[in-house]
Amino acid sequence: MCRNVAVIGVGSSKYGRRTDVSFMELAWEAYKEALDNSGVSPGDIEYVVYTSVGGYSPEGSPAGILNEYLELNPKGTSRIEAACTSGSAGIFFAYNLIKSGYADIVLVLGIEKMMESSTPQTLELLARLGNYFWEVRDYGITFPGYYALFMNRYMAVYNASEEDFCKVAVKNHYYGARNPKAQYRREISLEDCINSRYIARPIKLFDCSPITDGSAAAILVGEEYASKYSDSPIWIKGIASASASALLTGREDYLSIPSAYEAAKKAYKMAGVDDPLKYIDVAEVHDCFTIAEVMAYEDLQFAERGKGIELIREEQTYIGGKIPVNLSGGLKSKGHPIGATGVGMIAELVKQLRGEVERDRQAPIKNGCALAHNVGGIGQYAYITILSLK
Amino acid sequence: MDYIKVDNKTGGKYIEDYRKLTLEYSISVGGLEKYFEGLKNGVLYASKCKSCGSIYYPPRSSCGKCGSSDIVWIELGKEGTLLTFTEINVKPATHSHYDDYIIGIGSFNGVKVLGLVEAKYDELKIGMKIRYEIVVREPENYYIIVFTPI
Repeated sequence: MCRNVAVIGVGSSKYGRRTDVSFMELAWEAYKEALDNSGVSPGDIEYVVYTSVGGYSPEGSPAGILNEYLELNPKGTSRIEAACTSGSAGIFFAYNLIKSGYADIVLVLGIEKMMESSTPQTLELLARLGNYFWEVRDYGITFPGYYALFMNRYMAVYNASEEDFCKVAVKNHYYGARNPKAQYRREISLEDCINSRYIARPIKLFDCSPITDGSAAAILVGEEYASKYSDSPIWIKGIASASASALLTGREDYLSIPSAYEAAKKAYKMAGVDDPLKYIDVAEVHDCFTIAEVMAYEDLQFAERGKGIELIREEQTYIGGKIPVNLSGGLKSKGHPIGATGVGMIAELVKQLRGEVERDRQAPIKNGCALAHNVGGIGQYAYITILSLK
Repeated sequence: MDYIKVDNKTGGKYIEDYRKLTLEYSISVGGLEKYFEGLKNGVLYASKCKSCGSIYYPPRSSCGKCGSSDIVWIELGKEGTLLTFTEINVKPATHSHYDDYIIGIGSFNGVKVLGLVEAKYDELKIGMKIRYEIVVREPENYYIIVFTPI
């Protein structure tokens, strides 16, 4: 019952405008890669968790049709949804299936094909991940709008500028340019960001993660199976979930994501991490907007309240700084296929810990410990996962 | 007819879905009729639990904290403070017919309320005093909370 759980194989499609592949083909890309680098054969998989928010492409119940296409019938399956944390929720579910002894080998496959919708339709569907009845229907808030409310307040209270936030975008594009699977493989200048148009003022186009097609997969196993399949299993040392009010008006303030703070506290305790800066070599955080990355620094205790902005001003989240963050390019540059994002974070961190990413975006691995921070909606969901080589 | 189309950005081929779906809902208001009646009369109500004193906005007909269904309606004071705001420049599909609009969160005696803000963006400051009123918004003719700086 108390056995440990390892990730032994991961895969990811190229993220981007993937109109060159069908929904099934997109899933296949991540699945095939994960299968190949895990050494698992399809017959060994006992349960399949699909993670997808859905609505952006027309299939109403993707798990069934995907399981058929991937030739995984008659394995049991379901789709898990928790907005932009769907992927992490899937990992959490798979972890617990294995932990409980119900299954030994579980596949998690996240997918979102958002470009099959028009941009206004996508914005509408995204906004409805908040509270439609009270806040979306009458006030027409959008996802950039939710985070803009936080950014304006943060700027006023902690004396930060729009330019400060653009530094997050510059960093994430710097690393995304070096990631062959990223949606935007180009660097941007501070001016590119500052001069970009407002989407939800003060949030500008270059403060925003894009609309993305993408898939990601991870294969999790119980510890007795880890060494059978893999020379370098990556252990899940901490995994935690927390929640907060989906209603904006239910929040204490607009300076942090309380669920992310709570989930981080739980995950740190579970993994025995007392000082994250001392243990964690690399982090993937949920930078759906630049303000979200700054709040993540604080919610994860990389910086004190109000000091997150200084981490980016001082370039402390680049390689060589206090803690490298989003070396994949993050949601901002790698892309944000919402239901796949959480699985994509795990795929990236497994490769980081194994030293398998492109050299100019590889974090130095000293302690063998990595963290994924995944926020859903405006923080009504949060998941933190801590991975380790040992 | 162009049956198989080309995405000029990627060269990918697609078929435009010839089935269109409009989603329409009739949304139950449950025990909150009084709230919506209030909007019609220009009054903004929160709910207060008679048993433990918890105040909810938006209102609810039972108390999530103590479980009591004994609630009273309290009218929110008209004047409050602007906590934060944003201007929506890129709009969702169902709001695309409006000009860019500003929304904000106000605090009215400690009760937080989301509203539309009637002012120029550059005139707004976090912490400024605001007043709310209930206005009929065209062209749908629905009741909406509007904040104006005092």
